[in-house]
Parts: sequence; C-alpha cells; structure tokens
Amino acid sequence: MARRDREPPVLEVRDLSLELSIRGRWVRALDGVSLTIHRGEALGLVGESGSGKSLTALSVPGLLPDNARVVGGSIRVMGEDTLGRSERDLAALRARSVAFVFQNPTSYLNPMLTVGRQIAEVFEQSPELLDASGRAGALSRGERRRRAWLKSIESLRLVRIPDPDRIVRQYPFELSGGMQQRAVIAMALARRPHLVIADEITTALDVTVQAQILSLLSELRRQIDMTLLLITHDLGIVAQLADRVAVMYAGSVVESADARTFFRAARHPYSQALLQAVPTIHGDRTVLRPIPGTMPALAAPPPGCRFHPRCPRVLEACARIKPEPVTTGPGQAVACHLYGSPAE
Amino acid sequence: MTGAPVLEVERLIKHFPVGGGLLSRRKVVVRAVDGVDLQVRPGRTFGLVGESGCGKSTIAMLLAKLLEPTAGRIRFDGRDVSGLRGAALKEFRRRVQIVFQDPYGALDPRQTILSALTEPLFTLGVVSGRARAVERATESIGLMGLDPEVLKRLPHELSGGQRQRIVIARALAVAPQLLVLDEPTSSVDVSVQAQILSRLEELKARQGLTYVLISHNLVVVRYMSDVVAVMYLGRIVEMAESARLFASPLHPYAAALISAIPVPDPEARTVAALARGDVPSPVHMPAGCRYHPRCPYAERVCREADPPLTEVQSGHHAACHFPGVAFRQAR
Amino acid sequence: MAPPVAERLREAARLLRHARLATAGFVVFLVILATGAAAPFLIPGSVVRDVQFSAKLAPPDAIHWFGTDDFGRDLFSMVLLATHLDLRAALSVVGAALVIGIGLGALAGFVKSLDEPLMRITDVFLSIPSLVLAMAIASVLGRSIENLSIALVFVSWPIYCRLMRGQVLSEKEKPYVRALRSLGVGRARMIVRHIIPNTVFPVVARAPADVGLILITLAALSYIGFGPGPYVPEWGSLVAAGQAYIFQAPWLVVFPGGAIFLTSLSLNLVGDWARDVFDPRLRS
Repeated sequence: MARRDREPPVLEVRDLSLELSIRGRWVRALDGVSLTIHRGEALGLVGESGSGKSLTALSVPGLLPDNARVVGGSIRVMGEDTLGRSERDLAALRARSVAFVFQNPTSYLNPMLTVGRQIAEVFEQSPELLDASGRAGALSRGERRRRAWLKSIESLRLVRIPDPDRIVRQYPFELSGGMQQRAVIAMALARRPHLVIADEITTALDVTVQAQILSLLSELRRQIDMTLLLITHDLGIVAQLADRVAVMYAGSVVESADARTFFRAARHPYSQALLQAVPTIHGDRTVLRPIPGTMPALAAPPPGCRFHPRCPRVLEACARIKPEPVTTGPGQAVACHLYGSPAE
Repeated sequence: MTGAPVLEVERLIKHFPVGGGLLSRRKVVVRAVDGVDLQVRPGRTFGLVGESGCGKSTIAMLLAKLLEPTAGRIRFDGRDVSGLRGAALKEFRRRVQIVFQDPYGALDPRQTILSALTEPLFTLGVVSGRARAVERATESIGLMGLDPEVLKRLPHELSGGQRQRIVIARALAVAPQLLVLDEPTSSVDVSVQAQILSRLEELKARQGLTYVLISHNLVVVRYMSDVVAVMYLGRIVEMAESARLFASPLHPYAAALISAIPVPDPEARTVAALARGDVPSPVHMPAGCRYHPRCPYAERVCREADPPLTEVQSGHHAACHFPGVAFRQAR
Repeated sequence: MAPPVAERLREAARLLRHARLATAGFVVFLVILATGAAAPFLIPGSVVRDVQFSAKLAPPDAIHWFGTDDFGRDLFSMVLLATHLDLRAALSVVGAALVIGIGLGALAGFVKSLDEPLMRITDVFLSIPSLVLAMAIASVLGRSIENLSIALVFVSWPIYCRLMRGQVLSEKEKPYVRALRSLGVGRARMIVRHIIPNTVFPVVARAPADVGLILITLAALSYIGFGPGPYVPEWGSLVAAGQAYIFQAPWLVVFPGGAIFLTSLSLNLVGDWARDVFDPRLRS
C-alpha cells in the first residue's frame, strides 16, 4: 500500500463545497468535503440520508442534478481537474475513468435491448478495446460487432453470471435483481475504468443476493485491481469490503481512518454513536443505544459543529466554531474539538 | 409471561390467481402463503423473517384482516376471526393494529397529523367527544417521542423518521392488544431505527403489548424477538427461540440468511455466500423441498419429497431432511 | 381541509407571479366574467327585438361601437348580452358535467361491480362524435339554450368520469387506504373524505380549458344551424349570421368571433397554469 501512496491518487477531492436550490433558496449541502483514494483501494463513504454522501459521489463524474452548484474546492481524477469542465469532456471522463453504478439496476438498463447488446455497445464505442495491436480503425463494422459481442459474453463471465452465452441474449426484465446488478457492474467495468463508484448498490437486493454481490466485488477487487468508492449506510458492508472509511454527517466528513482502526477505535462521537446504534447479530441481545435527536435540516444547520446538539461529549467551543479535520495518525483524520484543532 | 396464546394460526393458506382471463385456459396461481402454523404468546414478540416473495407481508395482511385466507384459520384470543362483521369486526380492528413499511404512503397526504390520529379514535369507537380525542392523540405522539407541534403539520412537511413514528403512534392510540409491525424500520436511517426500536421495546413492557414483527432484516428481528420463524416460499422452514435459532440454525436457508449478514467488524470471517442462485418467485414452485435448487447440501430425497416442519429439538422446529447439515459440514 | 387548500392557494399565488401569461389570461378572463355578470344590468334585453332594418349593417362608429348587425341592432349590446348567456351556459355545462362525471367516476373506481356497467355506458357516449350527439339530443329536446346546454352536459361528463375512475383506481391501491381500512374507516367515508379529495384536482384542472371548448362547440352548433335562433344573443349565432355578410360587414364576424377567441384563449392559459399547480405539487 505504501508504494501506491507515492503515485498520484486516483481520486482527490479537496474542500468541496456545494449548494442546492430548494424552493428558491440556496442551501449549503456539502461543506468542505475532502477525501482521497489511491489505486487499488476501496473507500467506504458512510452516512445516513441527508449526510451528503450521494451528492459527493455524484459530483465526481459530474452527474449532479440541475439544482446543484459547486461553490468551492476541487476534484481531481487521475491528477486532472474535473470541476468546470465542459459536458463533452465530462462525458469522456465518464467513459474512460470513472464508472458509476447506481442503486436500482432496473432503472439503468434499457428495457428494449438485450443485456448483451447493451454491454456490446460500450465496447463498440471504444474500438481500442477490441484490438490489442492498436489497428482498431482497420476493422470492418461487422468484425467490430462480432468482437464486441464476444467481449460482452466475457464481461458477463467476469461478474460470475452463470450460463453467460444464454443470458447475453436476454432482456433485463427476464433477469432477477441480482443478475441485473451484475450486468450493470459488467457494463461499468467494460472499459476498465480507473475508479468505480458504487452508490448503495445492494440496498434494493435481498440479503442472500447482497452477500453474493459483495463477495463478487471482493473477488473483482483482487482480480482486476479495482479502485472503489463505496457509498453505503451499512457499516457491515463497509467492514467487509472497505480498506478505509470516511464518515459523513450533515455535509462534512467527520472522520476518516483505515477500516481496522475505525471499527476498533473510532474517534468522532458520531462514529462511535453510529457503531453503538447498530444492533449486531452475535452474542446476547445487545442493548441498542440510540442517538438522541435528529440530523439537522440542510436549511438550518446548527452553528459550530453540526453534531454538537446531539453530542454526548460536547465542549463549549463546539457551539461556536466548526472543527476542521485534524490528522491524528497516518491516514486518519477527525473533525472534532476533542482532538485539537489545526491552529494549535 | 406465558399464558394462552393471543394469536393462533392454523394451516393458513393464501393463493392469488394470476393471469388467465376470459380466453386463457391455464390458471396460474401464486401460492403466497402455503400452509403456515404459528402461535404467539401474550407479551412476547414473534419475529417473522424472510426475503422477497416469501409471503411474510401477505401474512401481515391476513393477520390484520385486510385479506381473507384461501384456507386455514386465524384465532385471536381464542376466537376464530373469519366471518367477523360489523361491531365484532370493529372490536377486532381496535385490538389488532398493523403498522406498514412505507411511512409516507401510509398517511393521507391531505390530512393533518392531528386528523390522522383522531379519525381512527372515532371510527373505531375508542373515544367520544373531540376534546378527549385530541388529548389521546397528543398522548400518543408524546409516547413516540414527538413534539405535539407536529400535530398541525401535513405528512410531506415531516421527515421519514417522524412519519414512521406517527404511524406507530396512530396504531397505539387505539390501545391495541396486538401490534403487527410490517418492516417498521426499513425505510429509515440507522439512528432513527435505533430510536424507534428501543421505544417499541419500552412500550411493549409498559403497556403489555404483544408484537408480531415482520422484516427481511435479521438483525432487527434478532434484537426485538423472543421467537423467530424463517419463511421461504410461503412456508415456515425453521422456528425457535431467538437466541437458539441465531446460535445454531438447523435449516440451510436460515444458516445462509444468517451468514449473509455483513458484520460491522473487519476481523470477522468473510461471508461465504451459502445460498446459490436467486430468490425464486412463488409462481413456480420447485418439486420436493422448496429450497433444494439453492441448497448446497441437497440430496436426492430433497428433490423428491417436501419435508414437513417438525420439532427437531425441544422448541426448535425445522423443515429439512438433514437439519443441522450446514453446521456439521462447516466444521 | 383548510390547511392543504390554504397552502395550495399560497403556492398558486407564487406560481402566478412567475407565470405572466397565465396571469394575463386570468385577468382577461376576469374582465370578461365581470362584463358578462354586469351585462343584464347595463343592457336591456329588449335590444334583441330592437329591429331596425334601416340601420342595418352599419360600420362601427361613435354610437354603435361594434356597428350594427343584419337586423339593425347594436352589435356591441348583442355581444355583451351574449357574453352573459354564453358564459352562464358554458360554466353550468362544465359544472354539471364535473359533478356527474366525478361522482360516477369515483363510484366506478371504488365499487368493482359498478365499474363494468359504467364504463360501457361511457364507451357508448364517447364513441359518438360530440357534435352529432349534441345535435341528436337538441333535435329531440328543442333548440333553446337550456336544451343545448343539457345536450352538452351529456357530451362532456363521460371524459370526467373516465379520468376520475382512473385516478380512483390507482389511489385505491395506495398504502394509506389499506392503513385506513385497518383503522375502521368504512367505504363511504373512505370515498368521500379521503379518495375524492386526493384525486379530484387533476380532473378539475381540465375544466377551464373545457369551458373554452364548450363555447366553441356552442358556436359550431349555431353555425351549422342548430343554434337557438336570431333572437337569442349567442356568440356563435352572431358569427353564423354574420358569415353571410363577411365581405360587406366583417365586423359582424370579427367582434363576436373575437370574443370567443379571447375567452377561449384566456381560459386555456388559466387551465395550463391550473394543471401545473395541481399536478406536480401533489407529487412533491
């Protein structure tokens, strides 16, 4: 892993701030979000609804909704800035570098085309994938289609779909949710993107199917050295797949650490509360410790640290000053006054 | 806290006709619930767990008498509930309440919360007089930890967590005996879930309620339930006291479900995906044991004979030809 | 019902400020409505019989602002009186059609045994072209404005019935309906207190545009000779009568035709805005 740290990170988000227009008013939805992912790493971005994790993910490939505007910070993919680029550049970026897998696979597959056709289309649009020797331009259209079709079957095999020769001819509605999600993952991986962003991709699936998809992602990471930004609210999924964890609350990253450290010794009071609020299945019936209060509305955030009204270890400064992230160890940062502030 | 069961279900069956029509000769039937027996003792929580298509939501609707069974019997407080009408039906509705999963959909979008809470008090004859109804509604809201200010609002002005709490408050306001909870926390965040679940636990003890908890989330079921039944394709495949079932599941499907849950601990052994293939649809039932196409331990007998639910150990039931096989082979 | 309606009106007012076309339409329609309401007080009904063949077909001047028609009557007075009559007819037709259509549609959607028969009946009505249907009924009942209105109610209610039925069918499946059933809400209360208030607005939002349509249909009926005759001031019959003199006295067609056009247009603008207010708001 240390070797990788010296390469430029695949994704570097620095101080990203974003506003949303809600009923005519601009509301700050993301406030100084920073995260970094190195090649081959899997980062779990954890948060509840309203934390801003999906918005953060959507801003990387430029898929933000119309009512959003970036008001600060930078995003770099493979060292290149992506904010403020034209739609055409972003489309190219999405094609080559960043693949986004959404939560509901049915909505993202064209119901009128067979699964094979949809994946083949991705290959046909990148002829260089079809010919290793670089003479892709010389291929006839028929030959391109034939090779794209074969590649399509190969993709389905990569995502462990059984009987890919048959499945490749089926329409999305003929496949189950789990198979559809695998097909979508196959499409995302077709061009071997530098970064795969997976936004709650197992939330809509049954738990046994979810286990299969998670196991698939694990294997794929090893097999093709996939770099993954995993967005989820489920700490169990994070524990299983992620190398590093970043926790978001009300628009900011409150803690980031490697997975082992996080689960053993999370620092931020919200992280700790979250870990205690999740009932676990082993041992005796655990006492659930709920977090009092609710996440603040975007339009009316509390002053200072946004978590302070609910924090069991709140200090006087918390209500006045918003804590900046402080590095507490290699690859660990916490945004909390309990751990000092950068000024000190 | 045992006594005569509050709820008894015998050989409950619910089939839905599908397709067909005037010109088609073949009648396809969805066997949503295909022979379920269970008993719920007062003051306990009975957890029903399973994935999509297993029939648990249909059972919820049957228990609340929003659907009529195709066959079988439901007995509440010793009395058969089929054929209840008029005043007796109202009495039943007052004593058995159901909370649904979708908190937004479960509230009339044009009704204020106060109106949503007081209406059932009138229709079920729980109180007379507006003042008393408002009082009761305010009490219920308070019990679920909400500010009475919320009564003036409309559903879309509130968060998902608040709405789910309101829906529960609405059910509790009529002072039921039995509360059927169909995925009560599936649409809310972890922290809200924790709040609602612990609140439900408190209320159960305080008001002597009995719960039937239906969920696909095993962790929630584990936390809340005394007895747990695992459903698959319309049948119960395993049933036992909660701790026992989670510690040593006898049915391979139960074992698969339990091991499929990602544990928030990176040191834990990585999940082995023990169930093969996809969750089936209840339209095409496999022959023999319903789980056999996905079971890694299936033998010939599994393909031919459908195992009944039998008491394998004291108080621990399983419908399997080789109960406990998942554990024996894993060791 | 108070809070949702009040809030909806607030949103509506906000939208109005942003949609200037709709505001213009609203204003124009209100002016026309006021004119129609005031007309019987400003202009004596006897004008209709004020036939003066010597002054016929005179162009607009200081005394006769719109000129005179082929009977020598002041066209301006005729148009104003017609405003009153046409608006009253069109509004009552749409009003009655709405009440009947929504009522029957709600029943059809909610009570399965009534659905089939009601849908067959609407099928019959909808398969006959509206003008033909109106003509048939008018020829049986007689050609007064009242009878024409009744005929047009027959023509209009089926669409509202269908729309309402569709809305109710889908609304019935929503989780809150199930929840309310388990809370002891009976069928009658369910339809009246819950289902109808939640489904009626998209149907009613069509009404303004339909008022415009009815006006045009009335005009068309007069045009083909099914109208109430030259002694009843009705925009359509004015246009029909004026058609013969279109080159000599174009004002006979322009002014009443313009009135139809303006009313219809303003209503369409208001109708578009009403649809925007009522439909997506519900989804938010």
